[in-house]
Amino acid sequence: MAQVVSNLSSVPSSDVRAIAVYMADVLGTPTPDRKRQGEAALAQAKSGAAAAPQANAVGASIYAAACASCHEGGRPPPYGGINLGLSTAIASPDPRNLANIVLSGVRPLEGERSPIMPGFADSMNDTQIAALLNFLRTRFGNQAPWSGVEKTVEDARRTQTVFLQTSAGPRNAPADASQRDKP
Amino acid sequence: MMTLKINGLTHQVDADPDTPLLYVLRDDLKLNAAKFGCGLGQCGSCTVIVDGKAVLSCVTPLLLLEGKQVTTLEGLGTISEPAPIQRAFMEEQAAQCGYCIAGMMMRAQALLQKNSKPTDEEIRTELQQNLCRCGTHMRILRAVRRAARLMDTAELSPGNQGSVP
Repeated sequence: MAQVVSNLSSVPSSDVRAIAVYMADVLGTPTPDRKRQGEAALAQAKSGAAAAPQANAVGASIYAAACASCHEGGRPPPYGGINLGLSTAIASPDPRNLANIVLSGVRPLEGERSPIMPGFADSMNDTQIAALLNFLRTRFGNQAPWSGVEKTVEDARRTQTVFLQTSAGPRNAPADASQRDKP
Repeated sequence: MMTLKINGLTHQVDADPDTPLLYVLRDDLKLNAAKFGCGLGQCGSCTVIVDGKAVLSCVTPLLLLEGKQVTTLEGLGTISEPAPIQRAFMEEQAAQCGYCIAGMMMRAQALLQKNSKPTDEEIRTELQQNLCRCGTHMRILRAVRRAARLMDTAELSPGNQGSVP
């Protein structure tokens, strides 16, 4: 998806609008419920409303200490994190994507300006990551809580280990010389 | 007050739980090997070892370190008795400006602790997260291979730290 976003980043805004109108048409009229939900999510994302107190103090303190300085720092990406109120990983029905991101981070794409995030696999244990994920879901998700988050984190960590052991990273400068002077 | 276990010693530091480990290491404990590079967990110059794993200390708040053992470069060896990884980096003259080197050594040390004979591919994959602006990468790779050989030889056991699992 990152490549799609990157490729479309240079199209004129009239094209972006046309794609949005087309997609909205394909998806049909949203139910009043869904519409309300969407508007609430957007309003929350824009206002950056203060966090309601949560029983999940562990997740809240990890978020405040490890995540908020980037995600609420007000710097533009990639030096600041995305607005978590707009995160599809947090709003998604399944916590797996979010678990993967927190564990492994987001690596920059070679030769492109792209989002970055450090991984926390080696500094947080499964219980801490699960507490963080539950906090994020309640704070930013606008959705019902997930169940079995710790199990998801465990599974994601196992897969991540296998992936890191087998994946070969980019080895050399791009063969295409015109790519080399890109940031 | 936070309690931290660093290089085998227990420290009481007057810092908030959300303080990044790097700030406490450098500002309070004067352990200056770990460097502040980007502050975003992207360059690796702040790498230390926590419970055997390479961790970016600039994005690791103290509250995540409860009950864990932190090792910094100062904990591996001394000037008179450098650890194998330090000796290897010196012998290969792997540092140019040196800013990235403490982080490089810590990540390489963590790798060698869990995998004493890494392939070139494994070394490259592991060190990918640590950036070097000078471009001494080939020397760094040689140093890590040399360190693996040094650690393999028994003569070095006195200078080696005892935390190898």
